[in-house]
Amino acid sequence: MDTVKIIFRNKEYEVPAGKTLCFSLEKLGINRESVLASRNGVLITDDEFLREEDVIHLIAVISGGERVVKEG
Amino acid sequence: MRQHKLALCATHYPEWIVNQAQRFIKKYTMFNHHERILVAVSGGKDSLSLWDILWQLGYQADGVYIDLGIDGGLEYSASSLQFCEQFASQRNLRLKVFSVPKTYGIGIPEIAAKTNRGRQKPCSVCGLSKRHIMNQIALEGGYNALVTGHNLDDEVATLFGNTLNWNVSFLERQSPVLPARQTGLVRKAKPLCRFYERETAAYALVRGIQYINEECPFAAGSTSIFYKNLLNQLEQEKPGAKLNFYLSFLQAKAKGMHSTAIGQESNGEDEAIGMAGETLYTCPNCGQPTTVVGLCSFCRMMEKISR
Repeated sequence: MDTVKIIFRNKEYEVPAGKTLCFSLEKLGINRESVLASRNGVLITDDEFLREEDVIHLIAVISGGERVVKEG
Repeated sequence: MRQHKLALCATHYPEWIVNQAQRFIKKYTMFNHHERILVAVSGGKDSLSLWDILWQLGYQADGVYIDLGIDGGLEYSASSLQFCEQFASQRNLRLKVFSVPKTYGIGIPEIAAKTNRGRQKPCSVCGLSKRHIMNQIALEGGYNALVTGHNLDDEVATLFGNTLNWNVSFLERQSPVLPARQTGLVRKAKPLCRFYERETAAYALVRGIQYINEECPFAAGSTSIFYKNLLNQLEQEKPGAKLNFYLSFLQAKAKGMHSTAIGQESNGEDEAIGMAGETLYTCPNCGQPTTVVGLCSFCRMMEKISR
């Protein structure tokens, strides 16, 4: 089966080609709101179809630390 | 950007972000081109993107980096500083550096370990220290406004936490801009408060901004990240939910729906100082405002740990 490689936090995942990024992320249990995806260094959108032998890098976007009780 | 039903190319996306940022700066009367701005930078995507946006918009914006003395096996603070220095140098911008270990002899993790509030996790001590130091530097440097890179996800996570705990006094204070107080509080503004975290990250990548990828070693398991993940689950099912939550909150606030209980919930902490109508005193040690007579929270903490 034709597959696409998705790399996230130093782990590699394989998903079927011909599906959208959004579909593939859902299959992997990754919330699309928490990542950006790039192919060959170029950002791609959620509705982009992933092609055979694509290598997709996911970039985590959530940051934070301070406990959420105080403002200012 | 499902929340805006908008998709832009790599050329128009950063232009859109810059234009939107200018719109928010004006809408919330944050600052103008005649004023001197101090940008709090951490080496992360949000603060460096903010500095880049202000630079492109032609604001007089200097940066300030606070070396917190966090190592975590990653030389986290040292590496973060490198990203800030590289950014400033590439654009010929002025970066001020304040070192906690050099000033106080120990870093934030060591300070936190000596306190009740930070023994388990130093984030609260870190936040208190940063707010104190940033305000002091902004005042001493004669800056008109201190700006931070808080994005919409930060704001919504704070809003969510304060709503769950019904912290009315903190809800009252949460705003895109907090005016200066004569008692020594510099104006604070958050020009990225309406941008999703995903949007600021995309901006940094498209603009080729080099930022620290590693998360603060103490961030793992933090409440804010937990709330952000919860809110992202909501966003995934209901695009625009986070933005709507924040904007509805601001609208409700503008209608006076949160103007209650000022002074009734004072817990002697300085984190929420500066609310309208609140009595402020001057700390005899540092000269910064405090909600209680005597030392401010930061000076009180530093005095306790030096005993």
